[in-house]
Amino acid sequence: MTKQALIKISHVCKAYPNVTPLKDVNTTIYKGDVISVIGPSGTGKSTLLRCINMMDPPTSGDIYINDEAITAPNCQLHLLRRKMGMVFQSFNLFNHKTVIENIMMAPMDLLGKSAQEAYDKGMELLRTVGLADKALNFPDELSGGQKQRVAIARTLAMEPEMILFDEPTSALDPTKVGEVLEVIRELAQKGMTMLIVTHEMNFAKDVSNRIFYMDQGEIYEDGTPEQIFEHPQRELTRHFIMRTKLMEEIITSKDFDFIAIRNNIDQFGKKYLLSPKSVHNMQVVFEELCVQTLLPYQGEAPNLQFRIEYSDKTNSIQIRIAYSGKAFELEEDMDMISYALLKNATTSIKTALTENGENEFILDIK
Amino acid sequence: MQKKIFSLLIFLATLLTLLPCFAANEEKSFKTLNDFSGARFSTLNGTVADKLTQSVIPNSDNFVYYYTVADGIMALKSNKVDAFVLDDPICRLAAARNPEVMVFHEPVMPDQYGFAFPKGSPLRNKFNTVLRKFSEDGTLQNLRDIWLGADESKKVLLKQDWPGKNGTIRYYHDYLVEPIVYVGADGPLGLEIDLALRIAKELDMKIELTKCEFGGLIASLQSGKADVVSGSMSITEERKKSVDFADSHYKAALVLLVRNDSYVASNESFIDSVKASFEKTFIVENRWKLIVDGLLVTILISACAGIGGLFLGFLLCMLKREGSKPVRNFINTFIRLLKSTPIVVFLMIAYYIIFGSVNISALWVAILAFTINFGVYAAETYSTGLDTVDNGQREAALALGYTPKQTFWKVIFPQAARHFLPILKGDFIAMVKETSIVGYISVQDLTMVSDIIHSRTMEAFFPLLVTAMIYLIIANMLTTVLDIIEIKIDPKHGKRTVKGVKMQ
Ligand SMILES: Nc1ncnc2c1ncn2[C@@H]1O[C@H](COP(=O)(O)OP(=O)(O)O)[C@@H](O)[C@H]1O
Ligand SMILES: [Mg+2]
Repeated sequence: MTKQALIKISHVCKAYPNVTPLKDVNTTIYKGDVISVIGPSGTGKSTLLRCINMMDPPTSGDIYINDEAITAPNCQLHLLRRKMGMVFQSFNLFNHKTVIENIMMAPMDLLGKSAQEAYDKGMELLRTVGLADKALNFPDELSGGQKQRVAIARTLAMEPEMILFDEPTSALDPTKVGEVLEVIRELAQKGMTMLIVTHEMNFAKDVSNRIFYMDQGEIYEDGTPEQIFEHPQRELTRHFIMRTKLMEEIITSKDFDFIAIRNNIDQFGKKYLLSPKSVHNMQVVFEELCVQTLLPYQGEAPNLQFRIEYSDKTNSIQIRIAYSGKAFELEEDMDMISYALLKNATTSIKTALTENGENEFILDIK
Repeated sequence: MQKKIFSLLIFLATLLTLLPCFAANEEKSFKTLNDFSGARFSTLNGTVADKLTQSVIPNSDNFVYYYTVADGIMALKSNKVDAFVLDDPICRLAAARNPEVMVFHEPVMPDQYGFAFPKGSPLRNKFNTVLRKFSEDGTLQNLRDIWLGADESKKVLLKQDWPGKNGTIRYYHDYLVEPIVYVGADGPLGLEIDLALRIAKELDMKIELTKCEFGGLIASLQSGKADVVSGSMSITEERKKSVDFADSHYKAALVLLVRNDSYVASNESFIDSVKASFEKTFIVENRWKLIVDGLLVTILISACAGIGGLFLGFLLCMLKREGSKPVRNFINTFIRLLKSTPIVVFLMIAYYIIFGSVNISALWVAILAFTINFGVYAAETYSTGLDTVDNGQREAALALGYTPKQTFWKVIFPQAARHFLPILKGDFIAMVKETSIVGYISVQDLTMVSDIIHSRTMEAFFPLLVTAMIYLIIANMLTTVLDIIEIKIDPKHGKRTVKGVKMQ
């Protein structure tokens, strides 16, 4: 069975006067996909959703819904939008209508349904989101979680082929998040195609078959929940998942400010409440590997990148040292005492190549 | 609603009765003109009496100005001023009707009235020829005797039954100065009007009479609306700079109207005096008919401008929000300009300048001006209402598949209406009250009628009270309609149910 492509996004770029949140986005979304879109704030997650239904038209590039270009100038935008529901962070229920009228309005106005049909369908939907008894209430008489469930029912009343969710639970009281996620989870089980921008990582892991990690103006990494959450392939994804805190120093002169860097390491430790032992061990790595070993090895024009990555999530510290030039063999070429100190301060030492091809040591700090 | 009107009535009545008491002041006595040095004077707006008085009585620059003789006499009676400087025929009539005031025995200075024409008008010489003839054959003296006399039955105008082969004279006149130019039971009356008719007959020309505020007379000459104007207008060097005068037809004097110290209030009962005053205001000369006519004019202007303004305002608001940049700039400038122009000034500009040379009735100009004025305010009000609707509402409707137009009418407008309707109501009431200035372009509305009546009766109480009440009622009637709409569109009003559906 081949998968049916529902949305194709090709070279989409969206530029605002000051920022370009989407530089080059390409992907295909298949029928039945439940995709969670994650990433730091300001990386264009909302912008991507708003481009897909043309709330904000892309600056360039094309988007196809069932092979029909929604970005084409002559496209019947309002007809294509009926196939894609959208659920907003701020609910946006129509304040001048009751709950049931909110749900009945669009099918009657746009699909030509009779009041009775729209009503019966609306009540059925309200029952599935557990709010049949609120049919005659006004939006301002509901809690946030209830509003969002009504908003989802309103979207479903148009019988869309897919639904875009933009942080549906971010405006909710933490105690109300569950009831909304439950409704979305049920939709996923029924096979609704969905694109969900969310910060609820556990929910994303459970419910989706794909995760988009957005960063750098693109879908930086697209994979299964397993891949993204357990084995992220790319660096920024890993930092995001591990909730990494960074400290970076670049050394390009033999006469660099040694004291300042030592002080920065101390400050980093204080800021993230690291144990004195860990801070000491980081100082040892810096002193023995960078200053005593790699700097002399690089000679007159050193080029060293010293980076501490502290993962809030796993409470682990990693130091990465990238350097230009030939690979350095620790066991053979390092001073015995220094090597012993280094071994003592770390749990593992690995070598690797960085994304731009430099040699790198990866040390896990005790 | 009834209650509201009633309590307002009581409040007004109390205010009018009490006012004179607050103004009481210790009395001075005046024996010669020079005793008036340092006294408090008043005169009519737009006259030159103040300057003339200052050239005769030392230290006489403390002047206040009134629009009508009746107001001036009220002020004098209630001791707000010591002397009302006025033309002698008016003073004599006022003194004859009000025993509480009298004409001071020494006149301030002689004065003379004349008809005024646009600079260089050939009509002036024609008037002069006839005036000379009337002076020689005694017609002029005869007219003076009739109009200054007490026999009201003789005070009738000529019928225009001559052919009028030589064209039509457009004649604007003041209407608040009995016996020179005023309004009687069947329309304008007065010495100058009678004289103008007789001159027209001699010239075999038709004459078209238009009532106009004294302050607007010279403007109507300059804008070409009128061929000749009068209104006991003194011939002065200053006025001669902007208009030409015919030879004087009346040698008057500027005199002082003062309180009559020897007057003792009659012990007529309060009820009787109210009765008499009611009679004078409404019954005599069928004056209530005037009120009804004025009322209809006010309602016509308010209703047309109200409805027209609602549409114009909506159009302006949409252009302002959706138009291209130059259109938006233009509309914004237009709105700002009109909002910062006093409506009186705008009305005069519209009538005397924009439509100065167009033959369009003043009533239409008034309706147009108020439509534009109300439209400008309504545009801002709509805009404010639309701004209160969160952009998320628009996005939600678009995302469901509504077109932008459907989105506006189904989602945005109904929500905005709840915000702009109450403000529109206020705008509308303000506009209705402001229509009271249309007298400036000679439209005879409710306020002008009230002025006419109170200039004849010298009674302020009933005309003012009735006018205030009528405005209150008009404004309330029309806002009641808006109130009903407001309740109708309140989504939480009424029983909660879904229309046209069998509920589960
Ligand atoms: N209408 C707009 N005009 C200008 N800049 C915008 C607009 N909408 C979003 N942006 C900018 O685009 C970037 C991406 O925004 P957004 O897509 O909302 O991020 P996210 O949803 O990932 O947090 C942000 O820097 C934001 O400030
Ligand atoms: Mg967002």
